[in-house]
Amino acid sequence: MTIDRFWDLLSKKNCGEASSGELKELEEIFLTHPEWKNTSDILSNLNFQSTVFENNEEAESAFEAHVTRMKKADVEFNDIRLNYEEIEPRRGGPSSKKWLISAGVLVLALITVFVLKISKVSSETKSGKQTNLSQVTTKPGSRKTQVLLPDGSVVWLNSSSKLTYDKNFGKNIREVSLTGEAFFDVTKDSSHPFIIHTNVIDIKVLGTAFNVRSYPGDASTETSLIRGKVEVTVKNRSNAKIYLSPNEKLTVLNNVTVNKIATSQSPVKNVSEKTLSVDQLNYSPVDSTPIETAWVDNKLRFQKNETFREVALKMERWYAVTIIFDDKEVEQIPLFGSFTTETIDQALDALREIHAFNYTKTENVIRITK
Amino acid sequence: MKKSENIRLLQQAIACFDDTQAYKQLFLLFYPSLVHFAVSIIKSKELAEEIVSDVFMKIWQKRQHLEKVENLSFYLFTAVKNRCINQFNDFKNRTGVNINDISIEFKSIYHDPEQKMISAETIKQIQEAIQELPPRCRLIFKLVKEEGLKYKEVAELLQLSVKTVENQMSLAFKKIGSAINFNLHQLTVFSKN
Repeated sequence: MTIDRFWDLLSKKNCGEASSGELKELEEIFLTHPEWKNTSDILSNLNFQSTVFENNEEAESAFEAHVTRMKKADVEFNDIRLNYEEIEPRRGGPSSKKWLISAGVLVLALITVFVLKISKVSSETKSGKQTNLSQVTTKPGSRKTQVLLPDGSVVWLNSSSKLTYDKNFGKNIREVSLTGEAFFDVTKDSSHPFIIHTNVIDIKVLGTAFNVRSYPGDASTETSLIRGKVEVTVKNRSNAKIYLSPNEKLTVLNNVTVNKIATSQSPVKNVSEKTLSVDQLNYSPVDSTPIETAWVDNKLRFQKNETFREVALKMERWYAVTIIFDDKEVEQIPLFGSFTTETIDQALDALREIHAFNYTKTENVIRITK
Repeated sequence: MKKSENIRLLQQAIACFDDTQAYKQLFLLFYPSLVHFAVSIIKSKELAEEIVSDVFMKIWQKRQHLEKVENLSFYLFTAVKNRCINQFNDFKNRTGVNINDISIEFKSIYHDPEQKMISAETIKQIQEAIQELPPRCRLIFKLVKEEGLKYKEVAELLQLSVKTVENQMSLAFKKIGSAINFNLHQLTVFSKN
């Protein structure tokens, strides 16, 4: 065995490129030359870091120079920190996407029409005189409203949601209250914790991007983490603190008996399941983005085990309609798919291709029958 | 969080949500290494910066496809290399380019948070040993250890055989190992059979 062979083996092992045979050979060498093990250990404790900027200023100016170049080349780049206005729902982009609805086996492609009938995005910011609160409320069907918080954090509000924060936001802590659904992109600031209050849970942000769903009519509140880390405290379970890592989702039952949709025969939901669970996010097999945050991307998506009844609830918010079921069987149909720019009629017609049902529409009320 | 996981999440945020903050983070993460790499090929820092900026511009323009990229590190280095090669022909014809405008300093930082076995002195020796490696060997070492590329990827990137990469890495380790041994006053007798 030459010394060169030792270095061949050691270098491979260190870089994770050694075969099991080579690893064995190296172990045998160490038995006869224990002093080399020492060198090997030292080398394996070294951590190399890729080249970084000298300092923050250099980093910032490099990026700024890059952005300037992009703008000169007419590349659209909306640096969010400068954007205080609401953005309108994206109407498709340079790449055309297909909207798929499937009942497990059947896949139908639905060509979409870009002119839509969404209710006007309504979000107002009012400041309460006594309480110094800022509040942003979205109406049903408003789909996506962007709110820029004083610290640079960005919040996207889904339909029928309300975000409230104090005028003193950011002075000591960054605190907001949420009803409904929002996606948070929080700027890092460890000296000012970011806390979100909902009815059932409090969320302390230790990281950056995540989704919270806490509608009063829903059976549960969901928190889905995309990036960073969050600490969730469940109210009324005082010491329960749960930490989420990226791609995890926490679901907490709201503990209310819920009548989700008015039906002619509606059983009260039986709350006997676990009140709390942490799961992996559901990824859409179509384009592997998390279903939980599809709405931020202007899609209404529903998962494999959602019944028509559950889907209808989402559709109610998305399209600003009321959906009533006259038939219990139709309620239970399992659905899976996604919508973007369809009108409610197009959506219902598309669903009818999967499973037969009829509906009537009077103004904003839809009755579903067999 | 592991670096590769972090990169995956940034990709997702950019592709799905047009997240400009994530884009900036990705840029800052890769820019210095990519520029260094480009300089080692085309020898001009100014051109290198332009090339890397162009690559990132493309990334933004085609961000919807970003999620599909399996190995972003390798993808970026390859993109930069290809542009450098294309540029090289133009470069030769350009006049007035300052060839002295090069700074190929491989200032890897070694941190060793858990073990206190390694003294600052030893680290300095290691850094010097790496700096003294022949340029191509040093580049290969950097791509593997700092950028996390696999032997196979480095071979493809630099148009070498995997065996060559193996040999160069072995050589690099030998030199570093010798530096450590010397510093620790270890007398090791290597037998040749």
